[in-house]
Amino acid sequence: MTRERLPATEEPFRLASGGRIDRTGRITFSFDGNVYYGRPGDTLASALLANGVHLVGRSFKYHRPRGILSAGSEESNALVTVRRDWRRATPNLRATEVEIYEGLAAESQNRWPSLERDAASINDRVSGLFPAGFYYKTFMGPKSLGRAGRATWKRLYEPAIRRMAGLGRAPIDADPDRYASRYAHCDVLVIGAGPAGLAAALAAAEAGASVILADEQAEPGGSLLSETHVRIDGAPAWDWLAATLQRLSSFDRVRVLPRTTVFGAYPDRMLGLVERISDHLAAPDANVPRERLWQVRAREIVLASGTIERPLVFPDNDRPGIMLAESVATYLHRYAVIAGTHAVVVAASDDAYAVAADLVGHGVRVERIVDVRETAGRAARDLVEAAGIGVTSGAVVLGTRGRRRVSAVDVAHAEARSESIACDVVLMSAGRQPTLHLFSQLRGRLAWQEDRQALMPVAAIDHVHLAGAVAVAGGTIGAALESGFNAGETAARTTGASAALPRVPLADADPPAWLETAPAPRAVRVARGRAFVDFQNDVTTKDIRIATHEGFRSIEHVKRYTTTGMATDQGKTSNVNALGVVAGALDVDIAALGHTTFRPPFTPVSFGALAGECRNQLFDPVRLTPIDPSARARGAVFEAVGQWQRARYYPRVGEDMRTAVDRECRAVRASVGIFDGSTLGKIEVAGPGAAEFLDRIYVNNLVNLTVGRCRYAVMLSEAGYVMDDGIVARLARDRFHVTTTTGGAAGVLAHMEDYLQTEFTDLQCWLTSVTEQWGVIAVQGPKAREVLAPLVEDVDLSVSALPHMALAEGRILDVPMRLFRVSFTGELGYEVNVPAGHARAVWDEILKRAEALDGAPYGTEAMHVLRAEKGYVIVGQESDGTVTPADLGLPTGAAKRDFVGKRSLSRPDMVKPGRPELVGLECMDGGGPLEEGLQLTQIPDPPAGTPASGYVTSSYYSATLDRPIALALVSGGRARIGDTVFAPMPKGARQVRIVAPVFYDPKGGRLHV
Amino acid sequence: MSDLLGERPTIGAPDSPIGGPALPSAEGIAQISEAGTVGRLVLRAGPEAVAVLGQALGAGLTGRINSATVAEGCTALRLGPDEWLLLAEADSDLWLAARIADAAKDVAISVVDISHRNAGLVITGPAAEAVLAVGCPLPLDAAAFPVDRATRTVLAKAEIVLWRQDSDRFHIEVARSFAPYLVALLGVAVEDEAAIAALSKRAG
Repeated sequence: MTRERLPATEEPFRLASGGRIDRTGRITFSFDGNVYYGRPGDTLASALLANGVHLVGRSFKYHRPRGILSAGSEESNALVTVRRDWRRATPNLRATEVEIYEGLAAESQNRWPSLERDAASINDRVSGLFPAGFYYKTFMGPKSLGRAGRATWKRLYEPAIRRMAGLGRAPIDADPDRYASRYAHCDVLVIGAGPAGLAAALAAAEAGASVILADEQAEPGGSLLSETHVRIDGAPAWDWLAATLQRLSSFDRVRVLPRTTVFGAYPDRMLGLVERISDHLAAPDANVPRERLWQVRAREIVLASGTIERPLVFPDNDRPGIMLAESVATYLHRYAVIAGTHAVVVAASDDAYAVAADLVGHGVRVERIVDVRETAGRAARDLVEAAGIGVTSGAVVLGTRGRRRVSAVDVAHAEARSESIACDVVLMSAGRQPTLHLFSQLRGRLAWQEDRQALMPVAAIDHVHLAGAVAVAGGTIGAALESGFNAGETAARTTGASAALPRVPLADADPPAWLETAPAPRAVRVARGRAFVDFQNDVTTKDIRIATHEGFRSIEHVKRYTTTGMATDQGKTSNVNALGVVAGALDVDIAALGHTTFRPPFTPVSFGALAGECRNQLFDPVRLTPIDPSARARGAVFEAVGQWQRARYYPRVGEDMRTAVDRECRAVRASVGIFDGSTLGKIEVAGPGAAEFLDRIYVNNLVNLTVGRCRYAVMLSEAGYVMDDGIVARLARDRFHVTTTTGGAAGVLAHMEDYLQTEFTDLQCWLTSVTEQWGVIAVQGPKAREVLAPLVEDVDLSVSALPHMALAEGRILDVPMRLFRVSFTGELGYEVNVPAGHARAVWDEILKRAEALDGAPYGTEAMHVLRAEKGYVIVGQESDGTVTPADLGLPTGAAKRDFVGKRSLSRPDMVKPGRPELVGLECMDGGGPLEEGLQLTQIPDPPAGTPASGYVTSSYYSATLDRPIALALVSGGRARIGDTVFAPMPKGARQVRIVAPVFYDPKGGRLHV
Repeated sequence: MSDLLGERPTIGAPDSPIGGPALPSAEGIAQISEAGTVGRLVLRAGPEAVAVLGQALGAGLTGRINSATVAEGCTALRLGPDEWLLLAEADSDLWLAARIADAAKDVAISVVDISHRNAGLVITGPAAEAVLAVGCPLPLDAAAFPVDRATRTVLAKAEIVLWRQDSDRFHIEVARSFAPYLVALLGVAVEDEAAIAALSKRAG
């Protein structure tokens, strides 16, 4: 056939009729800047082939010209970047899956300056420099360079090598698209909408089950879309397909998801699906999500994922124009595109014979079938004989020719001289490997099956039904319909769906099934050129032999060393061939070799789809206190404390942080400060067993706590380490209000609930989180009482009625209040708890009063300074999970019978001398505050490896004392008060004196006024 | 007393935990609104207390776990064997707590007012189920999650209590500080659902 006989059209390789493309529409698109026409229904690959474009990319390592290998998601060569606009460029898309739209701009990858003339293709000539294990060997740097040389190597050469390799470039700018997500549940998830999947979905739906049918292609139908012979239930396959989809759409509980890849299978049949919603549209609205992640919990799974055709391994088997035979048939029937005008078929299975005959029927000249086997099946031979195609059996492919597209195949044959057969397309077919990735991910075991020459399931797994070609590595359409229908019925019945079913769809004029599969290649003769096993990672038979020569035996190790099967296609077309070559090199059976592990994702998934809505302000909840609006109105500077935003300080005009914090501290010491403590964790513990429960949970004695009183309490982990602290307040005989640290709130509640439900089941009490019920306003300072007195009712604030560590319930500004007289500053202090909805208004009124008395709001920074002046610890700052209450100078519960963590406190390590102990530090050098975390040593410049005596846990400038203060944990520190130690710094050690950890009002007189 | 009250500044109605911009809404998809609930109590009670309390409360406590029992003025969501979330339209701490405490004088229970701890949201509309499915991993179809099913669950990164009030109406309870996050998330979900629905409608 010659070009002149094709219809006069812009798409010279498009047939005049046939296919599922829309001939009434015409789409203009570009590839590397060249403009082409295609049709609605085309993929980029089919449209390029229709225009005779075969060269579409350069390979990963050697920059060899590459074309289109397949017609589906297994594509390993035709990777392109699609650039929608300057912010939207998606690399490494398979041209076989990209649907064209008006204005689509696609680019080839891994080439410079152009696809035709790629500078780095020199790599192909010097391939000896890139042996197996290249990356491992290279990035280490040669040993001879020495340490410094290798550092240079790492800095200069590694980035250069990394730049040269690789595929498309990852986008740099933030992804502007929207991504949606959705959980879903169904009785039956059918994966793959080919004949088996459609029949399964139909049966399950008719039985009354809820069904999700997902298929990765733009259009459901699978192999039916390239099927023109068969008739189903008396109608052409395409009519049956349309009718079936129509029928499925009539069920409320059936959802058909085209353009949806089931990319991962997780425990208990949770599956990850990505639905591509708008990538195929020319101008999608900005509010339409690009993709949607589905997390589907399926009661039953029907896996109808079909098969992937296996390429042949022969020298230079990677040139553009060398394609999988079944894909050539797909382009012919589904897209009405011929991949070339004169073809050579390299066959190792009978599949290719039918395709060859088909091509002849559409005017393509098939120059020869080169069969590496001694003979083909009878039916196959009859078929090609009728079509007038010559067959050379028992042949060896010596190589191929052609720079940017294959131009000839060199063949040797036992009975003849080697010959070169000219062609512009080569079909290859070595049989099929079932697409069992998801089966494997679902923990289904696979093993090499010698008679099928494929990895096949060893045993069925519960709730997973294989249907169609995936179950038997091939088979007729009729068989697929039947097994699919039966699988759908079985799955639906298992879920209890009981409606009557119509009969199984029947196929006639069904082409025969070619179940003969060629042996996986063991030894490949390579006299010249390279025989590729993994196209995408440029792994050749030689690389695999080098790996086995270097001692690699396990297929998993060979995979990692050579990178075979580790490209973005995860070896869909290469794994079986790699197994064969490794087995051949090691002279073992493939079955003995095992196989590599299949892992999600089946095809690459965008980060956007995984992130979904959880980005920007929705990345994580930002929790604001009820007082937040007032703090913001005051210009507070905030800090993140977990998910909470807390006011750190309240700068006035012209103030920096230090000035503001100093002023806030002075206000508390001299007059009054008010502080938003709403984030404190709060738990209400109620019930007759509440007191005993808390007594067992906390170190401190709590059964004897009087009603109306509070006690500071420390909680230990089972291991005896300080876990949390807070105030336990007894509201009534059987009711307590317990506070926790801000960060510890959720963990403490869980810890308590755990003990209550599993250990202390003899106690009747209940825990209720009230963290967010109460807004907390700390009023601290000598004038605190003066601030509150006019605002509260039903509460006597006098020191005799409400002394330090007492509580009262009453009202403030006519709203209910729990008032705790507690102090984290060392001053007379109250914590006003009011229902959260009223907290802001109450805060505003208290603040007004406080400011009239020269008071001020203070933030978390001043709070830290004030408590450090008093030596009050913060769990998580003075403690690090390895600190005991004794270390911190806190009550140790020695007199108590038991509490959580008590036994651990007597472990030898917990009582040995030299434990870290909380002390204060004074700077002796007149400098500023120490850095928190500084190590403390005995001498100013200890040699490397000297253990530290301790470290600085907190350090601030104290405005009250007008000097820096610090808290530290020092080994045996309490016995070392007065000693001098050093804090080594890059510019010389700082000299510090160990002092008692209470810097201000050590007698506590200010608390009790 | 009244004199003192006269001198004191007074404060108005409580701040809404949601506040901020208009709540999400899309015609034919779903709309979010603030629930009218003002009173909330967490009730914990053993079996012996349930019988006593059942009579005192408007709503019975004997409904099955993960269900709502609706009665005049008070709905009981049974969240566990001994746990109920009571939702009241009147201020719960004024009358409900008192009634319970009164009824349960002789039995051990825990009643805690959490009226201000939670925010209540209502989502209505034909796509309410789909919008919630953006972050709620439970099956929400009417067969699995019928009317008056109520449970503690998650919605994306927030813990919620979800109660189906009608085929296309759900009540959500969420801790106060998570409410703005939840509203923003549902807003995005409503927009996405509307955009995808419009797209498939156009595609026919």
